Amino acid sequence: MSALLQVEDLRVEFPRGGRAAAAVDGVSFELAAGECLAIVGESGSGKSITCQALMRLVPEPGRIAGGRVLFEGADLLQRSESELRRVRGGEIAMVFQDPSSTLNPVFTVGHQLIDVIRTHWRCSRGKARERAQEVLEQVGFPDPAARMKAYPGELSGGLKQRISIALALACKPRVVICDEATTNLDVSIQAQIVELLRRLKDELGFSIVFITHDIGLTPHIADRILVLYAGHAVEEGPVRQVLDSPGHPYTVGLLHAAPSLSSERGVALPTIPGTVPPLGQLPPGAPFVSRCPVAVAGECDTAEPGWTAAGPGHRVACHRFAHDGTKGTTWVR
Amino acid sequence: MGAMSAAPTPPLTAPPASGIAAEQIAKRFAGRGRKGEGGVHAVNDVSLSVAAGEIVGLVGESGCGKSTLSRILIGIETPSSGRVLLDGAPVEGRAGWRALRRRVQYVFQDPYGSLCPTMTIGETLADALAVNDLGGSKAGRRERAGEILTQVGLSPADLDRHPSQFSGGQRQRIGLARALILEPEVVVCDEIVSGLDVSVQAQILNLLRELRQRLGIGLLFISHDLRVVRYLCDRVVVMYLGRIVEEGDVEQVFGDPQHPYTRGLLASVPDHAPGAPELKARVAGEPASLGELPSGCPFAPRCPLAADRCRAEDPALVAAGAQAGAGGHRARCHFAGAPR
Repeated sequence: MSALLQVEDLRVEFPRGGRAAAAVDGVSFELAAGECLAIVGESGSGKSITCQALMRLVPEPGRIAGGRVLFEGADLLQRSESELRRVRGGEIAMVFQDPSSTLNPVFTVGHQLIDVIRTHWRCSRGKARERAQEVLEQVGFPDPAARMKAYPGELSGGLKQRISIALALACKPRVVICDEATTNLDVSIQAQIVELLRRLKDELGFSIVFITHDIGLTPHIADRILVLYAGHAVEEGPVRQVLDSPGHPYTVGLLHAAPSLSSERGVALPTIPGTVPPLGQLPPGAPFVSRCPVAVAGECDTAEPGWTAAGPGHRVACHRFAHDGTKGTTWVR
Repeated sequence: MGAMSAAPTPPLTAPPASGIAAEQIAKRFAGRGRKGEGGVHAVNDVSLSVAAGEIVGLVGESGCGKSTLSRILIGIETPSSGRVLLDGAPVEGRAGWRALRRRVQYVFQDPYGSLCPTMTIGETLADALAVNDLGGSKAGRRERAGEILTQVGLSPADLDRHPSQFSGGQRQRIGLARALILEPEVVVCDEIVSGLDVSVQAQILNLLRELRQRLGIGLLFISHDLRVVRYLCDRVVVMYLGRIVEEGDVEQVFGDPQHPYTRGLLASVPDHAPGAPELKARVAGEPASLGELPSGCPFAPRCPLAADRCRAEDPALVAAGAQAGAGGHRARCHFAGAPR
């Protein structure tokens, strides 16, 4: 597979009590052209930090302590700041959770689109205007010329998120990173945005990294899924396969804890005991060991597990899975 | 309002002998105009009840009036018309509302904004007793606060800690403890699990089920997540632009939805279960503004079934579905029950 984006052994650290604590520890994944990869995990799993690191946007005092981010074969982490500026928003674009903070309230939609296009393309104002109207039409505004004159405050949350997507797509990126891009929207609007992203990805051929805490969304948009726990990748594979036969106890726990429209009613939901350990206080051994219902003393609490193949393109980082393929770990209710 | 407004909807059943009910509630917020022009009808002709021991889900998208309705139910907001009943009797006068505020409690969505950061958990809980002249002595209140913390899965040792020392899920438990310490009959839960991670959400949902069983309290569970509502609730009420468009037993409404809006919402639910249908945006566009409601059915502009009749005549909330009547299944649609 010729990957468009290849992340190798990424490590991001934050200082904690005089020492460096890893918020992202050894995460690797690949993204092919035209593919959508969902990254899931709960708060503190490192999914947003991972994606910020791809474009070297980790907030201070965090720092990227190791790894490579190969985009079309060249390492983004080695590029100069001015080279990176061309990549950000140009070849790799982002859509964030809150469109109100993405959009500048005092400039019109058209002004902001033209600004982005001219920053990256250095074209005439007229050309940029044409492109802005084209991309507004692509994201579902039938009257782009009128929308160009609108201020963000005149638009609803769903329409604002469409404008954020237009801003991201304005310079024809190869990769679009969506960080909880549908999280605060009403379900009917969320469905519209997911449909829009799906359609544009197929039409325009870009790739998507779709970060979400809602594992229910993943089969509706992604081809593959990467599950993160406390900064570690614990499972990765084709989305339907991971959801139907999860290998890692954490993935199993996430799936059981989330009610679906076919969950049995009137019985207690299996829960994952405890909470994610705070940054820098991860126990030795497997990252999930302190909450795992099937952890084995002497093994899971001493060595970090490596990857075990679970099927074509499906792998699991778990000692128990490596020994006896603990598919569908049962959770005590 | 449009020329053809539906007749007011009578409540389906008599108000519960124990619990809370709203009868034909309407709330109009006046606009800026000299005679209140430009106002909005946030809630229109809504009747619902929550009996002790019952969990009722209230769903709908932003701006559908679910929060305004819940605020009316606890007396933070006064209705423009209609009345609130507690244990079958209308709530009237200062004393009536004061009694209601003790017996109907509220848990807020934001566990960060709803707890005072400078008070310890013990002070917050004891305060709820003190303002209602309950719990006897200071020591008695503290003891009661410790007991209630145990009930929600925390410990009496947490009494002297401050909100900042707790996670979001733990704060939501504290919010529940503050509601439960007054031994209410009904607790209104306004989106209390929406900000939580799924593993914590599951813990809170299990706690709510357990509390209902153990204490026999009723819950009005406001949520936009239909997966959670289907799992937790006995009955569900679907609101759109200030009105009830469908209501009934959860199994009936989710299994045999009669209103196109409910069907659209269900098609929009991202479901991970094996064999779950692909997500479909079946509800196009966005809701109309409450200030300029279309004549006829308010959902008509977004409805895939809308016909001329829908744009002219506002449908009434009537019995619908295969088992109409039995589970109180009602829908506000001219095409409810029609083949589709």
